[in-house]
Amino acid sequence: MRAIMIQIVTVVGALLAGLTLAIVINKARREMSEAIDRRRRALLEPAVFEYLGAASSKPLSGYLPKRLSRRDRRLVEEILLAAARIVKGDTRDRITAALEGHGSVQGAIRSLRSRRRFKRADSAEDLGLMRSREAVEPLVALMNDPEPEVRIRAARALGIIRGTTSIRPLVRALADPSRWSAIRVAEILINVGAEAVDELLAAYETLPRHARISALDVLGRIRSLRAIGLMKRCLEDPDPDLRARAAHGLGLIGDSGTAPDLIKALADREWPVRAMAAKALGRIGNPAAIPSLREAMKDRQWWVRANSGEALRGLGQAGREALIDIPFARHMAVSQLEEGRIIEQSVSDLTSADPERRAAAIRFIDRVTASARVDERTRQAAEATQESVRRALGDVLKTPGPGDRGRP
Amino acid sequence: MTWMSILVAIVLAFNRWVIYYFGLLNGVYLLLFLVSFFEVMRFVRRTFFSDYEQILKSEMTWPISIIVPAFNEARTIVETVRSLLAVNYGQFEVVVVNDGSTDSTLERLVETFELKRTDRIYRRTLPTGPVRGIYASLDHPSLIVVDKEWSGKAGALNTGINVSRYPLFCSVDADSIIEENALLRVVKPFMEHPQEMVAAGGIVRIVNGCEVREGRVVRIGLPRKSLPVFQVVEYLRAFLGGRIGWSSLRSLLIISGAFGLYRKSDVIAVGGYDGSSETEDLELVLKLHEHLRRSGRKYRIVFVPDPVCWTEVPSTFRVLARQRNRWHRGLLQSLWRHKRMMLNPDHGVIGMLALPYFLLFETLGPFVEILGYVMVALSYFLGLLNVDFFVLFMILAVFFGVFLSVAAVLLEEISFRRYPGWEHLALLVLAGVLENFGYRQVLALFKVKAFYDFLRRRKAWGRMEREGFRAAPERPGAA
Amino acid sequence: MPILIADSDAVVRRFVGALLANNGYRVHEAADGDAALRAAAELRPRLVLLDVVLPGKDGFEVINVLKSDPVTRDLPLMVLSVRDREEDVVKALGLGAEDYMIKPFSTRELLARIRKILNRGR
Repeated sequence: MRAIMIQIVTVVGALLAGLTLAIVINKARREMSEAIDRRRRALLEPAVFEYLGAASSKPLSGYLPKRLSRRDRRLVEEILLAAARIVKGDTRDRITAALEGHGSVQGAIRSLRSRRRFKRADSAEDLGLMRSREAVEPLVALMNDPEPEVRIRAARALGIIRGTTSIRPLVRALADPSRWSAIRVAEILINVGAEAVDELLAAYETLPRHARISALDVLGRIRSLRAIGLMKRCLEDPDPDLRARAAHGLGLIGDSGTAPDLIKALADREWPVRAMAAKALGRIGNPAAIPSLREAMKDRQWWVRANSGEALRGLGQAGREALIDIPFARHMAVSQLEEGRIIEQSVSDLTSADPERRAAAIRFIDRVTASARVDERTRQAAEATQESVRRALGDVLKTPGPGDRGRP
Repeated sequence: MTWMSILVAIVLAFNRWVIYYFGLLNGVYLLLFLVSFFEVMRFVRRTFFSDYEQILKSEMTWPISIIVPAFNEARTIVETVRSLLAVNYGQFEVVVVNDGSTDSTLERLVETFELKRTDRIYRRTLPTGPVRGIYASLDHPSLIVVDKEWSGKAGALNTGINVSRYPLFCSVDADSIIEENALLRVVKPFMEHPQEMVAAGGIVRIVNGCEVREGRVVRIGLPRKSLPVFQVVEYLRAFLGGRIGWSSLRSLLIISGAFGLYRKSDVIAVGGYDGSSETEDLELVLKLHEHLRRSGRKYRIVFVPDPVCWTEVPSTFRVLARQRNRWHRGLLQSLWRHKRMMLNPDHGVIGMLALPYFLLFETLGPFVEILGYVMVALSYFLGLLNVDFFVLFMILAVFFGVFLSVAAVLLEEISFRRYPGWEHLALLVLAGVLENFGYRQVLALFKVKAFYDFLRRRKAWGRMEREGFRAAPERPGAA
Repeated sequence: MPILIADSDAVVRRFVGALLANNGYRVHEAADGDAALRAAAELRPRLVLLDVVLPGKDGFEVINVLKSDPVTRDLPLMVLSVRDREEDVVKALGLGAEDYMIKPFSTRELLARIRKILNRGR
């Protein structure tokens, strides 16, 4: 018994000593390596930066010391990739050229075939930063990787490199069965921007339903006028999700000529479509929509009312006036005026030097009061701001306005 | 049989069982450490710098409401809010809930941020105490301050949930410091598994000994006093050696109230925070587990090891005793409430492993430990003590204790390395050794005391509830 | 008089520093908001190039402080940041920054803008 115990104690003790030693050795090694890295980096970095800032056609190797160790080569690659994150234009092209000359691009392409998925993902990521066209084909092939994390990094890299050959597989990837991958691919396409529009329009009909929704979203967020035709057609689609997306997209594009189509969508059977149409009408800012939006404040759905209120708030003076004496959804209307700090603005306008502004402010506050909407904030503003504002506001509130009879 | 022989038999039996118990306990710890080790390695390799950039810039990133319950925090609240407003994240709001403070917490906020009363409309989804007013700032549109009558931390958090606008909320203690990039890091699992994620907790580190300027940790250091240093080691062990492991076994039971991110709709579905619990954070996570397990939905509650929340720990025994007492009572309370999950195969690893672990080791452990010391003394007087064996056993126990602490320090060294210097390393290892002589025993005593208090209070509560009273207000933000 | 670069990222500081140095400017670096303010007061630089995301006092605060102090009010400020949201740009310019460039940036463009600001001040 005692012997066994002694053995156990020895084993655990040895394990403990080993662990402590492992920590110490690990730390010492790391610190040493970092110290060497720092020293070499201090030497290499200025040379690399000088190459990047120069205008001559001398390759990077001309700026570096003759003989480079493996550590040096790794550091040069690291420095170039770090710089690649912060610059664009000419300097960026010089980085790509340097990385191609340095063998980094080829190395990363080789590691795309690694068995370890982290390594594949890492290399795909680096290739995006390197922006070498040589990498397009291997990256497109990587879009079939079994690992979603790897696919998404390949997609991101392709989005950075751009060009038709890299965009087409991205558009196809919108149909990725994993919803989340699809969303991220959509984002990559948005970052690609105008260059992706033609591919998206051409491929739209061939895409499955959920990919179409993403495609409409992407087109809207790229704000391409070329997509308006497709969006208008989609407002008539039997699928309500597509109609809602299309309405949303038209709002993002913001062409005020699409107002009539959106006003029509404001009477859609499905409330998500109505809500999106209201939001879109607010975005494109066509005052012709005011009567319909006012009407939409009666909608049974909270979201439609909220979006309509917000839209009206954004539609200038006329829209705000429409909000004041709205006979329904008053709470909503006032909270819109509140959030937009419109009441506050009028209160401070009361002391404006411009007589017209002053008059307008008085009229406005009058009407707010008339519809019995003297709210907390107005009162507070009267208590808090400077003397002159307080007096002016007091005057307005004292003199009975034309609509005062309607006060309950 | 004489009395003596019965006593001898009992002591011998106990001693044998203690050895089994000891073996099992350390086996489980070791296993947990190994799981944690691989998880940390995986995590470090999986972390891409560019992911955080993407999260920051993406329009798909979930907006977050940061909820800060504040009870008499006038001293630090302004600094806390300032540092929260400067957090590196896309769309977020800070909801401070002034929980009936009797000091100038509200006044200081109103003054500093030029707050004005608004009539913000919100839905009272969760029942909470009366709200006196909601304030907003003109210069800081993402700051909202709710002033309400005192209802305890859980009530304050629930109010914050009601008022908050965004689909995710992050609970933050008013006296804690969130690192600048903590939100980006803690939201990452929500970006990766948007359908399944329910809650995520970050690591809590100890601010004692660090230099803090304007609500930001500018230099990391270790505390000067011994009590907080022991807690640094204890926290490292609990988070890196424990929670990471539990998280990868999909049975994380604790997300610290000081810093946790939750999906609002799920929290609302379980009725929000529970005001009658001593540790509302633990109770919430258990409720979420029970509810989600029952609903059969695939879900994730995870621990993310790199978003850091810095918090101050007690530096005196008196405060530490009170804190641990509350924690342990809360644990007992929650275990009791969710006893149906215990050893219930429907609840998977949680029911079969995590909860039994908490019952067997966290709850009974202190008794075994304290009783063990008594038995050793008894054995000695009865002449039963095999001194050789006893000494070896004690050495083994200390070795194991040190082993786990050193292992946690190793995990820290290979992954996050927040403590940069050699002197930090030496001090942490030293503390890992010394804590076995005194600190651990004291903690065990605290827990035994908490068990006693728990039993007493349960009776007291039952009586008070029948008479329609509520428990007298203890300082809600304690800890 | 040097150009002050305030950025939390050491690579950015060194890269921009090397770029400016190679173009004949003297450069001073600051890693956070407080260091930037201190350097701006002591060195009286001819231009401050700063990120709005800075540890401690953020870039907006730095701009605010420099612009409200009569001594440093005329010191030209230019933002260089990854923050590309409209609000941030508008806010920085509104507080008094002369120019706002988004990272990643073109080095030639950066130099051209810096030259323009410095010539205007003359």
